[in-house]
Amino acid sequence: MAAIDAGAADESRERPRFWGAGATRVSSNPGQIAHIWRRLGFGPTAADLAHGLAIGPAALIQRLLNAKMTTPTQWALPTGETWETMVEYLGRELNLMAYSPNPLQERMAWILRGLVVVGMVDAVNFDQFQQYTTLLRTNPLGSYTALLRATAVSPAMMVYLNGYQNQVGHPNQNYARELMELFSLGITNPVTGAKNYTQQDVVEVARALTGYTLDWQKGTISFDPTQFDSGSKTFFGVNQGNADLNAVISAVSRHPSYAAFVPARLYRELTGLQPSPATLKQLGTLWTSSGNLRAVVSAIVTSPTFLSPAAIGSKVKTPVELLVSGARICNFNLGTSDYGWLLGSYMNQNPYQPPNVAGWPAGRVWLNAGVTMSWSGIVDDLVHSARSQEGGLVDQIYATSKPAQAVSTTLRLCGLTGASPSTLKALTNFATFEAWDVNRASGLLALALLSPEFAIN
Amino acid sequence: MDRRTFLQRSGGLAALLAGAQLVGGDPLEGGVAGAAARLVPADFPVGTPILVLIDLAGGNDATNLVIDPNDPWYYDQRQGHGAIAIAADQLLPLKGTTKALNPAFAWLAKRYATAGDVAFVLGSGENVAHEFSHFAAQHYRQAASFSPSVTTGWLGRFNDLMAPRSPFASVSTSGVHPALLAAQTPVLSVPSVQNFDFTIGWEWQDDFRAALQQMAVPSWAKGSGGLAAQQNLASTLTAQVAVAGAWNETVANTFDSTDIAQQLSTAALLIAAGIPSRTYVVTYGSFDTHAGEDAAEDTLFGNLDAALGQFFAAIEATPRAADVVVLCTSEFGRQQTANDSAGTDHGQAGLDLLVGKKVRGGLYGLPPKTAPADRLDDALVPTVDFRSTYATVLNHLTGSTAVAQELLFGTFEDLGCFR
Repeated sequence: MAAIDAGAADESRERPRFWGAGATRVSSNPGQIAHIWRRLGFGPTAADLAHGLAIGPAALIQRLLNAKMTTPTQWALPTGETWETMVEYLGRELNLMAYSPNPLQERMAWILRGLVVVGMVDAVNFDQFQQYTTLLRTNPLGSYTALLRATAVSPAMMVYLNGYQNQVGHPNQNYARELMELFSLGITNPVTGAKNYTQQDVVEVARALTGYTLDWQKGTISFDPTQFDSGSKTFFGVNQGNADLNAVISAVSRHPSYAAFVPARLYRELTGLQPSPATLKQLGTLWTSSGNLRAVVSAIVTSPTFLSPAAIGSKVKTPVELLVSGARICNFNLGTSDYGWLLGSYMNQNPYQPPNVAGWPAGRVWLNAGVTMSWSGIVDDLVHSARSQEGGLVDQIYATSKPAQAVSTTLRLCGLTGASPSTLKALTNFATFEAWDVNRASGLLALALLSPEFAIN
Repeated sequence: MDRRTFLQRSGGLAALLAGAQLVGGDPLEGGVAGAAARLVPADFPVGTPILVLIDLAGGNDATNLVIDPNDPWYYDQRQGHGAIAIAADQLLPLKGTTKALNPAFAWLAKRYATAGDVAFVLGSGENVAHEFSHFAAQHYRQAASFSPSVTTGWLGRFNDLMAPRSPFASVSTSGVHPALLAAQTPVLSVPSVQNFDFTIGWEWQDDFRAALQQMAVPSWAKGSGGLAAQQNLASTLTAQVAVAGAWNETVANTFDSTDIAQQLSTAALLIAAGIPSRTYVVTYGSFDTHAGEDAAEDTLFGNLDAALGQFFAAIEATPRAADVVVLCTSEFGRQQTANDSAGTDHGQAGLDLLVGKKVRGGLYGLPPKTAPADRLDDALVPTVDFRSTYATVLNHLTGSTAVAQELLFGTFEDLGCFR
């Protein structure tokens, strides 16, 4: 996304020093394990950290990369169009993100949700939106080009970006532009800086995408040749003949910037850093016109950069990442609460309604009062739930009995492998403010989740 | 203390002072601690100009807002707005001009005629990049620069200059608006004045708040995400009591429940309470009307018009009535030929709208040429650089043209929209 974002720019330019001067470094290794879980999943539990330390970072990465894809039966997502179904569906999706046996599948599906964007706005109905989320979740390490084809004709996308209203005569340019700008090519080539397409290309591609109509009763899309512009179209400097939607996707997948745009985005998502031209070239050879997601993701997360100090802690958790990682740590069932309104109205990240077709922003814009205060409300729920669980996190913290030990235990249980002097002092003071009891223990957990360290990804 | 108890206890100046005391003894950076002292009204006296920017996100179709009923190209069925053009007899005349307003703007049309403090800058846009992309165009608008290396917003730079590091300097009523991004000054995001508080469990109260304060003491390295998170926590804690204390149910109840009215309600409450912010940014839309534009505009424009009326009614009941100026702007206008789905695609020239007692009402800029031969890829070619509107506003806010030059990286014409 091109919108200005100080955080994203910082990530690319400077050496992130999150774990640098002033940090209490427990050891670099737990930091790497926690980082792997934050980026390839939604953050670690203490058990994840222990397991990762036992097998080592390389083996953990391979295990996450090679996990078996989960199936719709396992997802157990509800069907239907009622308000209750929507609430239940969101809770189930968030639970999958927190607890799926294949964390990378959920992480990738979430990355794709912010990349090939559909918002449940205007006439997009929930049934169509469910079909769309299923497309993204089914094989998010497969062929990106196949995913582009599937989403292009999906009813959700057709309605969201007016594809079904794009008819011969005066075409609607909405999907044509965003397909190229946001889903596949970007405005300019990241290496050469050359424009990837012209406004005239947008018009011509829109002509090629005509002919699809919507059955309002069934909510389905079909091709109607009488609405299709069968004339010849010229785009990307080439006469493309009587090109149609499939020809457009094929032409896009052969465009020189196709091998750079999504790989660069994946690199930023996973490492928090900007790829160098050399890295991009290397990723492009793996990407090919099929858009090989697995090959590119695998190359990124097995590169030394992925586990480097520059990458670790270089991102900021979004509200969804705060919620899902916090719930996983506290063993909280996200299917029992409706956080949709809080995520949307107070934190600006309703998973069903991105702010626009570019998806959600990244970086330090998420460090703001609205998010922080709303997060404190969620933390309150998480901690009180943890407190009611026998042998749960609060019990484990309380069992340490020595306040100093309780602080390090709390940090470890929250997947935090380093803390600033300020945070250590705050937790220590809090732990010793009154006699050690379960109230102190649960307060420590709440503070760790609200700490500046936890806000970082 | 739960929210209800908190709200009962907080109110007006007492809360402001409590907010100042809250951070008084803390070893925070000077700017943050000093900001609490700036809460004293003397540091933000009545008469300080305040900007409320409403970002009509998605590309507002200026052609359907200020309308030229005598332009045959507007009504042209083949190369104009055709089916979504609004019949001349439904338009609201702009008194003393040949132009007219979209009928959804009843309050604005009346204000234009009676108060004389409504200005339209026609033809506003850019002729540098000719950008048709939302996100590139928004970047240029928010940064007020065409350089990819500029990562601050034009109002963020303004706040860095006027109130560096103040946690109150810049308020965003919907997330964090990029125009407010600054090198030093945080953006205060206020999704709701009424509920602006931490939720803190019944088991702990002051000791928990003290621990939050302690965690916010800067100790991560300069430039790090950890430091940014500490600073966010610090500024949130500093702002909390004062912002929540601005809640006024009577005033809030005069606003509609629409998104735009609620956001303007937040701005009005904070201005009325004397929160020392010179800049508010409201994000409204989507104005990306690729389809069904006529129906969409009835709602988009109608809700905006009503909310503006409620906002100015609330502001005019305060001593700061003459201080506030509203600027509505958008990343671009739209193409002139309506598509077959009763919408318009991304265009170029748009318009800027200014309202406020210090505004000299009228039409500014130059209406773009509408004949097909004069268009750029069917879009209107801008006649005024959008940075001229910014310069005009900055000159008003600062009383100096030097500031605008510095913040906009160049000299742009003052359009003379202020008294």
